Amino acid sequence: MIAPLRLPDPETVETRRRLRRAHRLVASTLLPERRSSPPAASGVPAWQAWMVAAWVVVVAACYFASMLGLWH
Amino acid sequence: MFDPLISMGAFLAIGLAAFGLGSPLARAPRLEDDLLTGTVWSVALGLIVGGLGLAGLGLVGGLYAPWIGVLSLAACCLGIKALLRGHTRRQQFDAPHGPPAAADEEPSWAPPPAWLSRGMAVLALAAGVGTLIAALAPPTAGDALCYHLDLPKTFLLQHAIRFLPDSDGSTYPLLTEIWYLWALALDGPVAAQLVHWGLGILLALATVVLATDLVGRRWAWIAGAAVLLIPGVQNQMTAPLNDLALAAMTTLALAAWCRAVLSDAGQRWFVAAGMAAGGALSIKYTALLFLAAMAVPAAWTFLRQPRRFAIVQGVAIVAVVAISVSGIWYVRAAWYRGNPLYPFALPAVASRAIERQPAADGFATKMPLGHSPARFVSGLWEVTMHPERFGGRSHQLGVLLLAALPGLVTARRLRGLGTLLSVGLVYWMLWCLLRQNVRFLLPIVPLGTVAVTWCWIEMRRYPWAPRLAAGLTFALILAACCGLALTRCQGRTAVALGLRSRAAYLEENEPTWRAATVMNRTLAAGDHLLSQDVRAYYFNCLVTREIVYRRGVAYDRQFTEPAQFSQSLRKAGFTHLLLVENLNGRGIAFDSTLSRLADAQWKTPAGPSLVTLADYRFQDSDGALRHYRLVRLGE
Repeated sequence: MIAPLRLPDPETVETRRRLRRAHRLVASTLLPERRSSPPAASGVPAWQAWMVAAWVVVVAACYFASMLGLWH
Repeated sequence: MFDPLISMGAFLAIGLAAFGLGSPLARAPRLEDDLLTGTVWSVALGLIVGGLGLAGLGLVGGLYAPWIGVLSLAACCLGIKALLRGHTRRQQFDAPHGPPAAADEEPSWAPPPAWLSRGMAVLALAAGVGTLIAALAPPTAGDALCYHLDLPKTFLLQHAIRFLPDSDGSTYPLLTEIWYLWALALDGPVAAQLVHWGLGILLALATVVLATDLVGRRWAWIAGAAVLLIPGVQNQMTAPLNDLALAAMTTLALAAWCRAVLSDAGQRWFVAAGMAAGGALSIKYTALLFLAAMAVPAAWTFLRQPRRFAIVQGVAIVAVVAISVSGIWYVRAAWYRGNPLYPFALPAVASRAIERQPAADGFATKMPLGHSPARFVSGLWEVTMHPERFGGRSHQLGVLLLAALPGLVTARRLRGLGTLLSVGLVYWMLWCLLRQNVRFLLPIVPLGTVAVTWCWIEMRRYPWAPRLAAGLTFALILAACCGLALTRCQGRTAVALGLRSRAAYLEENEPTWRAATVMNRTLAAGDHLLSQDVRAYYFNCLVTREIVYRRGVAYDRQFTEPAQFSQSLRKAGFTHLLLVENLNGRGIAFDSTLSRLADAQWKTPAGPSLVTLADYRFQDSDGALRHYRLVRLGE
C-alpha cells in the first residue's frame, strides 16, 4: 500500500522557520565571526581620509618630479 | 623570421614540461585546492624538480643538448597527459572535499567593482605584452651576459657542471641558471630570457594565491595585477636574471605557510612551504634573509597558539624539506671553497671579498643608507625617490608602495596581514643591514601589493571627495607604470616580431658582439679569452675576467720586461685578450691594467706578437663611449 501524501502543516513550517532563525541568532551571538572578517565596517573620519589622500597626492607628485629631474 | 616563434616554442615546451613534472607532485599532497593554485604549484614544483634533475645530470657530466631535448619531450608528454586530466580535475574541485578552499570562501566585504577589475586586467595585460616583446629581443643586460647566461653556456660547452676557480658565481646556488641551461639547450638566450619573463607571470599568480587567503580571490587578482605594474618587476621580466625567480619561490613558501598556520589547512602545506623554500635557497643566498624574516611571525604564532607542537612540527618539516632540496648547492660551495656561503659569511673569506674593491666604491655604493636607525625608517622614501643610489632606476619599486602603505593606519585589522607585514618589515631591516640594492627587495613586493590591496578595499569607507582624489592619483600611478612597460618595446619590436635579424640588433646594441663575431669565426679548440669586460656570453669559448684572474694570481707581477707580457699569458693558457677603455668617463669604468700592459708591449720589438683582430668604438645606451680591441696572443 502506498502511504498517503501528507502535506506539511503550514503552522509547523512557520514554527520551524522561526526556530531556525532563533538558532542562527543564538549561534551568531555566541560564536565568533568568520576568522578572516575584520570588525564591522564604519566610515573613516573625514580628516583621516584627507590626510591619507593628501599623502598619496604629494608622494606621487614628488616621485614624478624626481623621475623627470625636476626635483632632487 | 621564425626565430621568435622557435624561442616561444622552446619556452612553452619548458613550461609544459615543468607542469608535467610538477603535476603529480602537487597532486600527491593535495595542493590542488582550486585550478589556479594547482597549476601554480605544479609549474613551480616541476621547475624545481626539473632543475635539480638537470643539475644532477650536470654533476655526472651528462649535459648534452640532444639528451636534454629527449628528456624535455618526455616531460612534455607528461604535461599533455596532465592537461588532459584537466576536466576530471575541475569536476574534482566542484565536489566538496575536506575543508573549503580559500578561493571558495567569499569575504565579508564587497567584491571589487567591475570597472576596477577590468581596468587592472587591461593594465596588467598591457604590461605583460610590453615586457614580452622586450623579452623577445636578444639579451644585452650586463649581469645576464656576465654570469646568469655565461655560466650555463660554459657548463653546456663542457657538458658538465664543473668548478670554475676564476668564476665566483660557479659555486653559488644556481637553480635559475640551470633553467637557463635548459632553455639554451633547446633554443638559445632568448628562450632563457623568456623563462625569466614566465617567472614574472608565476610571481604574479603566486601573489594571487597568497592574497586569496587574506582578501578573497577576486581582490587577490587585483594584487597579482599590481605586481606586474611594479617597474622593477617589469624590468626583470625583460632580462635573464634571478630575482623574480627568487621572489616567486619565497612568495609561494609564505603562501603555503599561511595556508598551513592561518587557515589550518593541514600539514601538507608545510611540505609545500619546504619545497618552495628549498627552491628559493637554490636560487640565491638572499632567500636566507627571507626565511629568517619568516621565522619571526612563526615564533609569534608559537607563543600565541595553543597548538605549539604543531608549529614546531611544521617548522621541522619546512627545514628538513628545504635543506633536502637545496643542500647540494651549499655542500658544493663548502667542498670547493671551504665556505657554504662563499664569498659571504666567513670572516676570513669576507675580508678577501671586501679587499678586492676600494672602500669608497664598496661601502658608499652598497650601503647608501648607512646603518642609522633613523635612515631605516626613512629608507623607503629614499629608495623610491632616488633608486639610482640603490642599484639603478631600472630596478626601482616605483611609488605605489610608498603612496599606499601609510593608508594602513586608517584600515581595520585583517587576519594574516600582520604576518605579511612583519615578514616584510624584518626583511627590510635585514636588507638595510646587509646589502642595500633595490633588486633584493623584490621578494617583499608581493607582500606589499597585498597590503596595498587591503588599503584600496578600506578606501571605500572614505568620504567620496578624498576617495576620489586618492583614487585618481592611484589611477595615474598605475597608468604611468603601464606606460613604462610599453616603452620597453621601443627599438625591440622589429627584432621581437622577426622583422629584423638578431645579429643586426646585437651589432647595434651589444658592445661585445662585434669582437665575439670575429673571434667565433676563427675559433679553435682550446681558445681561452682574458677579458676586461664582464660580458662574456657571446664568445663561444672559455672566458676569464681579468680582474678576477689578477686577484687570484697577480699575473701583472710575474714578469719584469714589458715584452714578456704576452708570453706570460700564453703560458697560462690564454689565447686572446679583450681590451676595453672608457673614453668619456660615463657608465662603467674599467681597470686599465691589461690595456696598459698590452700598450707597453706594443711599444717594444715584441709588439707584433700581439695581433689586433678587431678594433672599434661603441656608444652604449647609457651614453658611455668605449674602445674595444680583440687581440690574439702570438706564439
